[in-house]
Amino acid sequence: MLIDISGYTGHWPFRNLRGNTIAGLLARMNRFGVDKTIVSNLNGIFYVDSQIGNEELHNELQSDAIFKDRFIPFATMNPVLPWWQDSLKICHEEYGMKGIRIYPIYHDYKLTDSRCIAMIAAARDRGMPVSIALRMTDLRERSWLDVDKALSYNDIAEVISQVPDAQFMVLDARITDDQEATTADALAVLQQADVLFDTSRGSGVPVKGPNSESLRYLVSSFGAERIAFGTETPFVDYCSPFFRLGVFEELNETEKELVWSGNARRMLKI
Amino acid sequence: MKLNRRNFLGTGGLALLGASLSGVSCSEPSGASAGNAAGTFQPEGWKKLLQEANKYPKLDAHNHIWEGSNADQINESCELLGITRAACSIPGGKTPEAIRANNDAIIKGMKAYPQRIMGQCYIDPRFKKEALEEIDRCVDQGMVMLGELYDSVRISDPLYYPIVERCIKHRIPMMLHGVTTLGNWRPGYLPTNPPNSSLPDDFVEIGNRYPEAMIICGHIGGGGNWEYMCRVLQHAPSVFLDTSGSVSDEGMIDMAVQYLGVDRLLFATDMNYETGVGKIMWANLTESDRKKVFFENFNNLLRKAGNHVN
Repeated sequence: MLIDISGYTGHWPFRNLRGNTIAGLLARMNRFGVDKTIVSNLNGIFYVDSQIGNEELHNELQSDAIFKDRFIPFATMNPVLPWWQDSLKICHEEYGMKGIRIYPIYHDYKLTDSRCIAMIAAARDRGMPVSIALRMTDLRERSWLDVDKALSYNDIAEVISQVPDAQFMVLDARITDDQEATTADALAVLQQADVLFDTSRGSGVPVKGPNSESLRYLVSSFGAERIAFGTETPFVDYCSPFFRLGVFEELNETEKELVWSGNARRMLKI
Repeated sequence: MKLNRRNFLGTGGLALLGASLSGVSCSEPSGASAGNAAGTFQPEGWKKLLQEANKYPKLDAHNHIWEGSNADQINESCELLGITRAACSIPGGKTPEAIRANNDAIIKGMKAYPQRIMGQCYIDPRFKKEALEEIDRCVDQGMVMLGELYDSVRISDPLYYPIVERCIKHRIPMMLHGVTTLGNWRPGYLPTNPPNSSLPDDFVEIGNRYPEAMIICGHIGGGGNWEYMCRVLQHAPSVFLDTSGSVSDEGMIDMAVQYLGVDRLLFATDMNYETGVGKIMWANLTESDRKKVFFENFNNLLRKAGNHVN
């Protein structure tokens, strides 16, 4: 089985995307042999009311029977909105969404904001993992209207330390050349947490290119049981993520199965 | 024997797959958005696509021997992605002596892996006499081009004229770090590259001054506005663009093909091996065009001085 923990539908305001519909994603998944994709609606990042983005995603998923069982919807949540608890309840209980994605830089709050901590705790109580992308696109190509910051592993560790029994997914997991170094304390927190790092930026070859992560680093730092396959589709080409893991030769077959889907299945209880 | 990707290829597995691969294309047809266009589920379809990628010989026009990227690692990384040869440089050096030492390290890599590593000679045009001497020395040592010339001087600066003329004389290409980060092209925003970094506009200027030169703008995916690169470089018909960089955005290569034409694109990685190959496989290219980008276009440039790969 193959599960992609890093997929999206919807629009990105700063450049056009392709394949950014549920139907478009399904076509890719079928060609590459991806059984399931965790998906959220990009529109929810930019609407003042993120819940409308979740409604769009739910309606899109209900629009064709062929989408059933192929997508794992995650709700786009903004804890600054006073109605986030209503949104979380609807997304979980009515829409069957399995987790949440949060965007603190785009929604202009700190990860350690008390409202964010409360929302992560609420997600934990519902058994919903919290997915956080360190960045959405390469900051060097940003529009003048886009954000100019990214999150780091240190930021993730800080929020995990406040809700240590929640489950997390870290997307676009990589350290850029100019990013602050991961502290020993942060590393210790991450190593103890129930967290999955995606492979979307991880080099599988011996050379770690600039602005990439090294799969070897992820595995040696956190173990194969904390790594999960991710594509970042539809932002980047759909071939590279498979090539990264496909050429990585430092995992045995059992460990590779964990990365392709086993770790995600465990966290999602599927 | 444990069957892994490398020995699978080596034992003829690729040939066995050949029939099933014919007609396989990585890219999706445009407009594949309707539910009924989803196609059938292909278990482990990605494996066929990796095999498909490996059937193309590839010449990497932009790579480096650098910290964390020594000749052994380059050789192994190239092997894993089916890259036939890689042109490598060590950009930098504050003095002619330091630059010469870096080029010597490249020569050492070339000798260690003569079937894998091609040499790119780095120079700084501010040291005119030493730079011209170094070009001659590096060509004598078997280097095939200049690269990756960096950000001490813009390529449109007259300091580059004698450098370009020397490359024309030797019939070798020259590749230079191209940037399109926001602050470097739009006043009012903090430049994230040094001010003397070369914009596509600089490549247009030098390309139009020396249309007979083989000038390569480095890395469309080097982290900048690649739309800017495509729209401006279309006005420099003699300038080539390499496809390297960590950025492998949807549609990037297709836009480059649209504005520059497939014959001006050169496959490259800049140490990003998987995205280097993946972005070309995902682009809407015919098999013939993919062969051009992966191999033939760069090989045709190398052919001018007899440095091509047979």
